[in-house]
Amino acid sequence: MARPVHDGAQALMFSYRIRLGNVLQAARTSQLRIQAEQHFDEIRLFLDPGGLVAGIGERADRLTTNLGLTPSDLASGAVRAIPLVAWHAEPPLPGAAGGWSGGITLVLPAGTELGVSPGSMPPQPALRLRFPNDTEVEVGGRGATPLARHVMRGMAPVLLDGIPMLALSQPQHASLKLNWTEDMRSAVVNILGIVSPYRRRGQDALYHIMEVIGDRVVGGSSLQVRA
Amino acid sequence: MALTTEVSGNLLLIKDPNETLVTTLPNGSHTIDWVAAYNTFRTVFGDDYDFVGFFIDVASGMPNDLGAASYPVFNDITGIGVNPFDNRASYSSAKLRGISWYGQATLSGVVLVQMTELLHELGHYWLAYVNYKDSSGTTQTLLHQDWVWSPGQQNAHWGRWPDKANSSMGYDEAQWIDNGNGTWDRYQRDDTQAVDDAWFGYWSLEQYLMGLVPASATPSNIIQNPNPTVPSVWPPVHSTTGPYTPTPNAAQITVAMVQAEEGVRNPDYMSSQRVFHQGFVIITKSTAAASSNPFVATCEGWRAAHALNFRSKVSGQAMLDTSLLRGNYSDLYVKDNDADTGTGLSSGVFWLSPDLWVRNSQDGGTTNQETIRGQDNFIYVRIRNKGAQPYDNVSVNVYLANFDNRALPGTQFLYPPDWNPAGLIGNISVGTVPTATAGGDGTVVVNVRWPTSQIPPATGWHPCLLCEVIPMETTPSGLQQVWQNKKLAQRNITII
Repeated sequence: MARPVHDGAQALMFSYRIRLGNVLQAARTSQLRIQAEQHFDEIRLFLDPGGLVAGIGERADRLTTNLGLTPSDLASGAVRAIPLVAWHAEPPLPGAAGGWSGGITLVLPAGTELGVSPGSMPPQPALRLRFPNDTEVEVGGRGATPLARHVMRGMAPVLLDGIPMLALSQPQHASLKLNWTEDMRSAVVNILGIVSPYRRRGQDALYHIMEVIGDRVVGGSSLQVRA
Repeated sequence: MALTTEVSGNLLLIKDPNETLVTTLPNGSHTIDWVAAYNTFRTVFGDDYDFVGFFIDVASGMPNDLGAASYPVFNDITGIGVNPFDNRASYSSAKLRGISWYGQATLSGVVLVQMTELLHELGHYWLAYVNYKDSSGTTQTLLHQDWVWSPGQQNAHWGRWPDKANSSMGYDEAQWIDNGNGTWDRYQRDDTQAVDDAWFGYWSLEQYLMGLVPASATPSNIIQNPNPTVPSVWPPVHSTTGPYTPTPNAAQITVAMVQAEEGVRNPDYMSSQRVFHQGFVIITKSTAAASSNPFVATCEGWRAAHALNFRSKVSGQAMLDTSLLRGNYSDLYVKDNDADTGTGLSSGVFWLSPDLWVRNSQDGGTTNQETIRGQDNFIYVRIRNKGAQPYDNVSVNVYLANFDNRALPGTQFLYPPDWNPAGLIGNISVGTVPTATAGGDGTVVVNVRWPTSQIPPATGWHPCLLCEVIPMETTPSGLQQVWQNKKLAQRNITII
């Protein structure tokens, strides 16, 4: 089993709560950007967008941990040591609203070969897909969900221990369109960070969280994580 | 002797030993040539002020019958019960909105200016002119009933019937108290009492009319036709009279009812002016130096207290700068980031100002440290001067953002509301900011203690620090963000 890189290193979890928008802000849309000036792979970041993003659960991958996270863990605002995290990822539940929908299953017997046509070019006899074993292929698709309104980059919907979140897959450049209403011009979001003990000492991470309207940065905060 | 002037800190003295500004009217009363007085001020300090207030030095021999009043010069706001007008040409001004004067002397000839009086005269720029339409569409003037003072002033002040909360815009200085059973009591206040002077401010309807809050301001009651009638003579201060029963009942008014009569306020609270400049002048017969005239120090106390009081009474929704702007005031700035050269519009990350940082002790360090809870910390500010002239009389205010009403700070701060008096950590006076040299900006670094009692608990919170440098810029004057104003800086970082 791998050991922490330096003595005393522990797995950590933190939550970072911050208010986005402003009750006096006139703009009805803005963009949340997260940009890492420094990042190390031993941090996994998740965004709890509060009430700003609907429909996360409809097409979210499922990610479970041995922590048994609850919403109160996210809201605590605290930094705390946690056990070494065991991650288990699963695709969305079949038939979930807006998620995977299909019903057709193709059975490809062992030895099946398929020709491949790149673009509109005629089939090239040399390019084949061969299935050495019996294979089942499900044919279906994902329906449109409210998530499409948010034009996400570098983040993906996930149910983390059942809690709808957005996993930051590219914290170097992640963004999300926010839609404000007359009744909601401001909201609190929470960034959950889970830090592996297998990190190098002295390697800090620095994330800039920005609000952008048009091409103008109108708000920001920075989060530094010291290893 | 001709008029002379002297600058004393943030006050201008107009010394008029021969009373050339004073006119004696046929009835023996006096007035002052306010246009001439303003133009004397403008020639020294420029046309940068929304309001100018004059303190009258009665003890020096200036007339003691001028009282306290205001004179609106310009209005471009609709929906406040006054049509737009423009008398700026006679003042040779493109900025002035109104003047006011304070010469209310006691029998012994001492001028006493209450904070309430300063709020009242300033408030006349927006207040108290409106009427409303009742549910039948009939215009009602009950906001100005019942009036027992000079009839000519009724339409510019609230009467005794409306429950105007802590408004400074009435003459009765009494507070209605709802007994919850259809009757009301009246509690008599007096703004010459310190406790009451600190209590008076602007009521929620007034803050709507001032363009500071949305139209959802709290509804108010009018105690119409009370039984018994309200006594014409003030009862003893801090006594309660009543109960009074309104007939047929208390009339409730809303902003919507005011809007039905006057129209919607335009500009509304999103686009209204929020940053104001008010200059203060002393008119005196004394030719003595300011340093030997005790009235000057008294006026300086009123001026400084008024700026803080106004901001507090509007819950930070507006900012009043009462400093006098020297010609190079716009050379002063704080950097939003290293690339910021004080042009007034920065770009890039602006929430990690290199000119605003925390130290765990008063050690003069110039890099930011993580705030340590359970002990005092220190907040440092570097004020820059990019010009060739030094600047005196600078002050810096440091705030903990959004400390007033919620546990979490945000990213998108708007000035002035988020520079809220409730979150004020400290004020620092700076003697002189030196000139720029070939090596760069002239700088002064100051610090303020951040007491442990003002450092919030760690859970669910991280400190966002804001600062402002006064003298404040004259533009922008509406709601604005840090990157739009060279006098503002922000530090918004959490270290985990």
